[in-house]
Amino acid sequence: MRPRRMRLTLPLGPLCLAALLAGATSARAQQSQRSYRIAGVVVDAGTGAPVPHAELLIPFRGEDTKAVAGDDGRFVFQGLAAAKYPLSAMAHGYVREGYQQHGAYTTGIAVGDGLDSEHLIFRLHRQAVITGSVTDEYGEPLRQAQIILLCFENGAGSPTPTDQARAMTDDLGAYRFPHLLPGKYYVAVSAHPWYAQTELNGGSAAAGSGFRPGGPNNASNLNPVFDVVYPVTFSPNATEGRTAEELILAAGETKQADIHVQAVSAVHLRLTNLPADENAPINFSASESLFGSLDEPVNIVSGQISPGEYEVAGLPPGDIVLEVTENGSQSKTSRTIKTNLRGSDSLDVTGRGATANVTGRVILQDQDESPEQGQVSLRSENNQSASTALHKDGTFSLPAVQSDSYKVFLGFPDGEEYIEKLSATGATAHGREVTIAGAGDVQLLITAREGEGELTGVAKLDGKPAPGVMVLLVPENGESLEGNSHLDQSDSDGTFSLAEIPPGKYRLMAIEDGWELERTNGSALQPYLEKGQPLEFSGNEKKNVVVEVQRLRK
Amino acid sequence: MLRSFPALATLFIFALSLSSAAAAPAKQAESDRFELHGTVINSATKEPVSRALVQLNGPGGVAQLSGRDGTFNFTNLPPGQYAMTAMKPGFFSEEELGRERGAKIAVANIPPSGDLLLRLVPEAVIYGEVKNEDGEPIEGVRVRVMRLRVIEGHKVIDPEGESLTDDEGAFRIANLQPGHYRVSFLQANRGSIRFVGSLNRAREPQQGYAPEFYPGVRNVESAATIEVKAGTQSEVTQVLKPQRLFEISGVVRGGDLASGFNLMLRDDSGEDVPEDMKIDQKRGQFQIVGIPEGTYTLLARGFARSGAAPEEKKPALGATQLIHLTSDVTGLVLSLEPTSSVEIQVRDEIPPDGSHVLHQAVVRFVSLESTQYSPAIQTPFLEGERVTTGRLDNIPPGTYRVEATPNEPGYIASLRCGRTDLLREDLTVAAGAALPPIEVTLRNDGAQLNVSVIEENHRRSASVVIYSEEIPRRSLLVRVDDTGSASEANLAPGTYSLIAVDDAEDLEFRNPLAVEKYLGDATEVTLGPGDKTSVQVKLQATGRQQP
Repeated sequence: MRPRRMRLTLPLGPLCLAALLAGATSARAQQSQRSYRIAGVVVDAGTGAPVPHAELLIPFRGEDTKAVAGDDGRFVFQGLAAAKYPLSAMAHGYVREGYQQHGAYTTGIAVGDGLDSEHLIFRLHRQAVITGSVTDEYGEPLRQAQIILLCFENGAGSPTPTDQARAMTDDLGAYRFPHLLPGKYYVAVSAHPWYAQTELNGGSAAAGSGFRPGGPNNASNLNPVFDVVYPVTFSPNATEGRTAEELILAAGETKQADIHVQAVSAVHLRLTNLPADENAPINFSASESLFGSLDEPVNIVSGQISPGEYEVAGLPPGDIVLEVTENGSQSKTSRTIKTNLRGSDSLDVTGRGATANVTGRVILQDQDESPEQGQVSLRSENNQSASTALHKDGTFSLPAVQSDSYKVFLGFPDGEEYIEKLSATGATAHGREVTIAGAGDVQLLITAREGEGELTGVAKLDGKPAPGVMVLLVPENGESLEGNSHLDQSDSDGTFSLAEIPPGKYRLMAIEDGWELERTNGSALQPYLEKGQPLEFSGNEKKNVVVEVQRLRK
Repeated sequence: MLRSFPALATLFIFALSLSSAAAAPAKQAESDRFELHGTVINSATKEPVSRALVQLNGPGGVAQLSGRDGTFNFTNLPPGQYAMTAMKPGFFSEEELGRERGAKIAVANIPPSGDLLLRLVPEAVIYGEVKNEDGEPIEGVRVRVMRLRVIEGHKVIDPEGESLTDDEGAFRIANLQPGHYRVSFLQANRGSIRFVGSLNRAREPQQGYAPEFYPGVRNVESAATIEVKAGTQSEVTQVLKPQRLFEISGVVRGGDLASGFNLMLRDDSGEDVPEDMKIDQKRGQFQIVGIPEGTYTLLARGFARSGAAPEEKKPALGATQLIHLTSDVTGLVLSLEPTSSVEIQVRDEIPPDGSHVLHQAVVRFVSLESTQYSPAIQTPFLEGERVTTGRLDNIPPGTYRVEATPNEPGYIASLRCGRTDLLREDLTVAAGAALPPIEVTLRNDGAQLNVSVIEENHRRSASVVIYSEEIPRRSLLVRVDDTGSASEANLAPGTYSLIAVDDAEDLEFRNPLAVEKYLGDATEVTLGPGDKTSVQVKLQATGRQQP
């Protein structure tokens, strides 16, 4: 059973557990007057011993049905209509998890005639716990600080950490993350010194205030003691991911990870050569880049200090992602600047790397309506991005795009359009990606078509429906496995479903215990691809197949 | 160069207790620049508070963090008047505590007369754990602390902080001001409202935890009061027993259901009960599940069908149902009926000499059943008119305390609704009842009373209740600081009992039962129209310790 679909087509990434527990409502009810049961026993995944008093939950169609397991770990839900239900469990001292959960995927329980839903063995993993406390540069507890828990998920391919959970420190500076799966974690604190006062050096303190000709340039009477920030700090006191403490937790283990933060002088960044148009105010947002992939927002103050010159105050030193949004009268354009700050500095926005002037047009095939309210975005793996709203005639303009390779995304309020064809002049287009090198004019022609394909089917092992296996659909050409793969876990009746499949040639694989596989690594997949089932989708096509399960090769 | 020193460098002592310590005259650094030094201390332990942010706002804003020994030292200050604050997480300034002591921001004059002492009041903490009968922790219980206080002589309960229990059943709520608190426990993730196409019956009887108060009681009125003092930590352990939860379902009839209706379930102490509710708006059906045994009021609000003019505001409808819940209640029918409206007439009784126009007043309906409902209306200002009217609509059935406040100096001579004297009685509004107009009469021939408080022949600071036995709702509370006396103008003529106490913060001074025990030692004064009277009142012992 796959997690709830997202409206905007975004790269497939690992999702956190919370998203799973909230979602998973895609079960389909069948017409049946009879009522059925879901029953089984909750056991410790390590020892196999029954876990008493677990609370089991079926979140179905926005309604939660609960059951509590007995002293012997047995539970039963009665009076269920024939359908496919998500099931999750929580117990004191255990991970909160879905039935046969792997990442964001679980095995849905199919209930109906001829289906056995009464002999489930729900294996719960003993929880790992991370606790600790945060102290500031004076050794005093840091209260109401946000603690970020990062984890590295297995099998997701590239080893990038994901933002797993958040917590807030209490008045003692203490925090606690219970219900964790065994694995590798990092904890970091994001906070602002309570006594800090962030003001612009170059002008008044008013955030985002417009330019005042010859305005008061009151020499800052801000005490440098107060113009400070806390960079995001990993345990025990690292301000960079490289030197952060690795927390490797086994099932049932509790680790203490205290963090000590140190206030440092805030960086004031002066940005020059921005448009001086008073009717097109510029907004800034900044985030700190963690492990080069996760962005943690920073509280900043910004404002224009002279025509075309802005100041951003309150930045920590280090890797910063600055988003500059120009609010034009017609549309707003934003671009992302990555920089490493060592101290207060001035940054010529035009001089910094070449930017291309991208214009283009989106054509919707087979549709009379104009692409109103649409949005086009470019995103690179280096977190560069640019996006803008489409004009009524489908054209768009992104005036300053940095050199990089971008994936092109379309967003429509209610559409499921996919990009059928992308062509470019002044840049290189391949698939749904465009590589922009250097300055100049780039024109994009994006042909989009409504209707992505859907694949349903049954995974079978030795002729029998196989529950809980990984079902993977990858593009035949093996390109962009992370972004273009489609993934599900078969439910208790062996069924699976994949949606939002753009037309193209694919290979379908069902792999038992496949969750241990590094599935975005082409060479790791190679032995399975050969036995994979070739499938070709045209627009709007729906297919139903039987796929033979392959065993994991060790 | 102009130098404008006050005749004597004075330190006004207000909330922050800027008291001058040992005489250590300020050094005159340069020609007209001065130093200001002092210490921030913890008011409970008297220990210095390090790293407190001390801010001085005046001719130049400056700030610094106090040192390890709690000291601060500002140099190079131009003369003038400065507002002074100290702050630190985990502490309150006395000004923040907002006691009814005429708390104002501390003011320091430069040059100063000596060292300053800034007091910070440490927070209190309520912490503890929630367990089941087997001693196992219960995770995800929403623990709330509510503060009991008296505002304008009436008791109120305000939510002050909340926390969710963790996987070990533990919770911790900090940042509490000294005071009296009650603690409630509610199973989290309750209170969802969903709009559905059709309703189906709950499949199985539900078990769960009922909302409770410390120590294991269902009603806020019978909950224990925890008194927390500055800097203390109070531990609370609660054992929750799972119990059968019930369903209330039925249908709302009448009015224009398509344009929406809402339902509120209140417990018998007037608190809204956050329970899971499903509403089928088209059919008017509703289902509320997971409610423990108890007595509740279910209120429905809706709108009348709009006529030809859809843009016109639709009059509100309402329905109320009392429910004694001991098993599932199904098939309820709530018929929406018109809610009440009332006209407000404000007039004055001052001779038309042209010197005053007094006919503006604010009239407020304070619901005695619901802590959430207290609509108010201000009558409009009409140039030259001696009577103005206003109208308060959509008043749901219930009992109200009606309050009126004049906009200009004056007093409420009478406040009536038909035969109900609202200065003495509450107003009961029956469902759909037509109410006679509320008549407010204003006068400006009130008396002025100057009060000073003495204890052993010395004037001192105190709180003085100006209590009217005849009309307790006219009673007032004034603060007298130790520099002299307090003055209260526009008092309605009549006889008052003057009660001077150290701290009237928790005194329900408009409640005759709460005031009764002080009347024996009170000073009585009778005020006639236009009188100006000065009275000295002796301080009474309240039996309550100063914090």
